Amino acid sequence: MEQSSVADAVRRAADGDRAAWDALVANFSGLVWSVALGHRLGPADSAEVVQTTWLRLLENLDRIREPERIGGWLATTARHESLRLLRMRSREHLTDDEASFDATTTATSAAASPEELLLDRDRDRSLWIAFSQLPERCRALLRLVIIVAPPYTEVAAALDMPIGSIGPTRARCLDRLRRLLATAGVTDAIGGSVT
Amino acid sequence: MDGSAADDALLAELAEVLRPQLVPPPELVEAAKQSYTWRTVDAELARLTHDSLIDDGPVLARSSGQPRILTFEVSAVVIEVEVDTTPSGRRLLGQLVPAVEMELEVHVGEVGQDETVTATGRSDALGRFVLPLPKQRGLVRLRCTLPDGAAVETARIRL
Repeated sequence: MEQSSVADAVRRAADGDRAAWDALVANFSGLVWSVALGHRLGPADSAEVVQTTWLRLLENLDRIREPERIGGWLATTARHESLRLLRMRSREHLTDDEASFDATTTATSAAASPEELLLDRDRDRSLWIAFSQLPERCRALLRLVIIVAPPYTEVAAALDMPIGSIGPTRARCLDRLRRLLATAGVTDAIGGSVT
Repeated sequence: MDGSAADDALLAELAEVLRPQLVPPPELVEAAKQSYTWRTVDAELARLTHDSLIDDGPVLARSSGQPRILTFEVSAVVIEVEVDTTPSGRRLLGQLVPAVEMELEVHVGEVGQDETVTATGRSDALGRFVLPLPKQRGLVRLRCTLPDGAAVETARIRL
């Protein structure tokens, strides 16, 4: 969806156009879901974050100041709702600091396992395993940059990071991924050098 | 291949692998569309402006002894509630500012289902009220009828 048509859909949804609302949901559900996935919430809690985020938009439709930037608004809201839920759920492991990019974590989440994904190529399996060994914040960032096109304003909103640090952090996380693949003995078939 | 092109290629490969996982469950997308029927049209919406769980910082929010306090605001009135858990059940302890006597209803429901009024009550002359909450967590909102007949609804929140 182009920025101008996104802004138009927000205005039309505020005026009672249900089709415009449906279009917004279809366009941004992947982003909202990815933000929830990035917070180590279980499947039910991730679903709750998605649901509450859309309710917040519904409640605020007529007062969105920059409708063309609704993606960033949704990403920020989904992050807040994820935090709300995390704090409610016995509140360990908050992930708001930069340092957590370097901490390796293992936690259950709504993310599927390689078996569930039926990855049949060896390369895909290796990539999946390497990815799952990345720090949580790296995984969250990489999921988001897959969903969202540059300039990554929504990614910055979702992770509460300055937009200028998204690019360098993306590079750092991909480098870690490449090293994990190398450690696992997988040749980097696409030519990225491992130093 | 320079570093940036190699990064783009690796990311593209990763995207192929992750794509199925990044698609939100269809029933969630459907529920989000359905929620549009919950647009408030006949009442003014009191937005959630403070939740002690996130707005009082992690330390306070994490100390389990602290009750959860929520504030909803609209032009005519501020509604502050505390979620009080007692051995006999959960309840909302509320305060209206300005202090005003009015009718209150607790509505509970899930997206795609009809909401039910699970409790009704009235604030006293000092603007205080107590309303029971259901045992099960659910999406809760308060509907208030002001003395002049105007209705105010709070944003829905899962309690």
